[in-house]
Amino acid sequence: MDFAWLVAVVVFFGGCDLATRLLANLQSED
Amino acid sequence: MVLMTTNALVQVGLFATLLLAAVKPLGLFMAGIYEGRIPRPLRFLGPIERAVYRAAGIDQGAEMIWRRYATAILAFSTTSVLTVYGCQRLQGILPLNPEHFPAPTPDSAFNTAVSFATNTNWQGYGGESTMSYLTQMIALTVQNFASAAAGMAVLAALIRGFARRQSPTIGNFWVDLTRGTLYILLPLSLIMAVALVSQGVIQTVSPYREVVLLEPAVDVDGEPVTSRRIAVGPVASQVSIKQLGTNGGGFFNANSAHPLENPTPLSNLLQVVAILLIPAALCLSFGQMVGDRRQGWAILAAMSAVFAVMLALVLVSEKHGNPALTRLGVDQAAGGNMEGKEVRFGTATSALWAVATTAASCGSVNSMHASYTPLGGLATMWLMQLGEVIFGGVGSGLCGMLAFALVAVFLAGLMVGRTPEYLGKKVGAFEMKMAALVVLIPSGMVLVGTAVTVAVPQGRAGVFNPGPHGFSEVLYAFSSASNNNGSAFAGLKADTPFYNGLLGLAMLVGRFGVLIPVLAIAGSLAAKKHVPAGAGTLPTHTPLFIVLLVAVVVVVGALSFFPALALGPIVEHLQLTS
Repeated sequence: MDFAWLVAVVVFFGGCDLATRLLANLQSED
Repeated sequence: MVLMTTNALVQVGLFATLLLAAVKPLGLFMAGIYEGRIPRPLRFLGPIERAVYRAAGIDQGAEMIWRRYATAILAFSTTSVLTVYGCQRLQGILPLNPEHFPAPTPDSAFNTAVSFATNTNWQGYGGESTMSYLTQMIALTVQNFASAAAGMAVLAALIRGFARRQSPTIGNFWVDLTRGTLYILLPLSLIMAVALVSQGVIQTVSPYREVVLLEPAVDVDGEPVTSRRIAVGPVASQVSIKQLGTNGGGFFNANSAHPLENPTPLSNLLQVVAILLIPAALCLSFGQMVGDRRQGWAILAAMSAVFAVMLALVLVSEKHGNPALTRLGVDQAAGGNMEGKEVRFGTATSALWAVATTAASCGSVNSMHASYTPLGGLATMWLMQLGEVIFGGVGSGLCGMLAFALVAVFLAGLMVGRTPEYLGKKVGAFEMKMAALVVLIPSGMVLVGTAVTVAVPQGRAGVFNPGPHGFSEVLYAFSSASNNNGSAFAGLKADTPFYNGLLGLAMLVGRFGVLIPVLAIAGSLAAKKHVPAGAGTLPTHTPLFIVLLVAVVVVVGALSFFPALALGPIVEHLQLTS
């Protein structure tokens, strides 16, 4: 059970990092 | 009935005087810290700062572009969540656990870890019956400092975005984090903790005390009760930073309604001032760092205007009393609606605290918000739903307000047909998209989270009050979590895997769904050149702009939440008064 919650945390922050890259790309396009 | 007593006016007057007196010196002091000017009395801390950089391999001269700054805060927050989670799950075998508390469940540990790392401090557990001293001190109190300093660091980066010209970088997250903690939060917390101890707030690591009752009682089974176990612990150190860092997580479950956490009128006044102290002073830091203090005063005036109106609403509602109790023959003429409030605080002091703690994203309480009149409860809920921008969390609140300021100048630009500018920077499509994300993401999370919860059996199972008050409890919970406040309408059974998981997600989305776009705005603005003010530039330090800014915040908040509020506190008010 611990593993599932820890994976959820890592996946969320990984997703945030991906979102950051996408916003940086959007910035350069604008 | 007199709706504003002398007591209420004196309490509010003392609070406002102390706060306003501290705003300017503290604001200028904090601006200096983030600009690298350490005051002489604090320079003895310099070796500690440099030792931290050496140990962590940080080059304090290395500046970061906004994406790197964002990556640093994400890495820091990931580590924070995992550390707090680990501390809780291992507390059964770790030291400083004199009561031998077992580990909280995995879902509760996840919720608490996210809660403290995101500066929310929603508490699905009872502190004195769940957490060891080690967990309270090493995991929770440390995060009170770290999450607050992280929010302030992001604000410093955003202000640099406004202040710098054609710069690719916005500062160094690790340096901002370290300086905010070492030179601002730690000294202020130390002073505050000593002041609280002087008032009787306890600070100890000794085991809980068994005391003999002066007057033996009888329990529900008819058995005599001659002694009582009193929970104690390192309370003052946690309470000081829980207020100053707008964290709000109490050592005890009753938070600042507990006599060992908030024993005297003076401790109450100090704590309620501490809630708004840094968020208000940061407005002046902003003005100082962008080179025009009037800009900071204008933002502070806009925040204060909304605060004053909501405070008046809660004061009058609570003083007026609960119509249902009036019908039962309860005399509320003297005290007003005293359900859920400490007799030693009364309605005025409780209302002031309730508005301060929900205007700031603090969430500590000295009364139970679920027992407020529907209109009083609505005000506390709506202050959070505005996006925690009326003072808001340390750093994060002003970040949100500055995003609203960008929206306001954009609207003003549309009205007069000119390119919008703010503080000498042209506001382009990218900044507007990011500002829209800052405004919409927490609001969307509140509404979606509430809708999902009332639609599924696991969500409805936690609601003990059917009808509009039960809906208000759920709406309040998601307003609190998504805007990183942390206070609650008690009565909702939220320590279940469903609520722990969904509220944890709401806290994460509400925190990073704001901070990342804010950093994107900072990076984009920093790279722009300065545009001199022209005849068509809207001055942003005038009463006209203050009114425009307040109108934008209020209209967005009203449009987003009026339908949901109509299903909860508004219909409850109509039911009670009809």
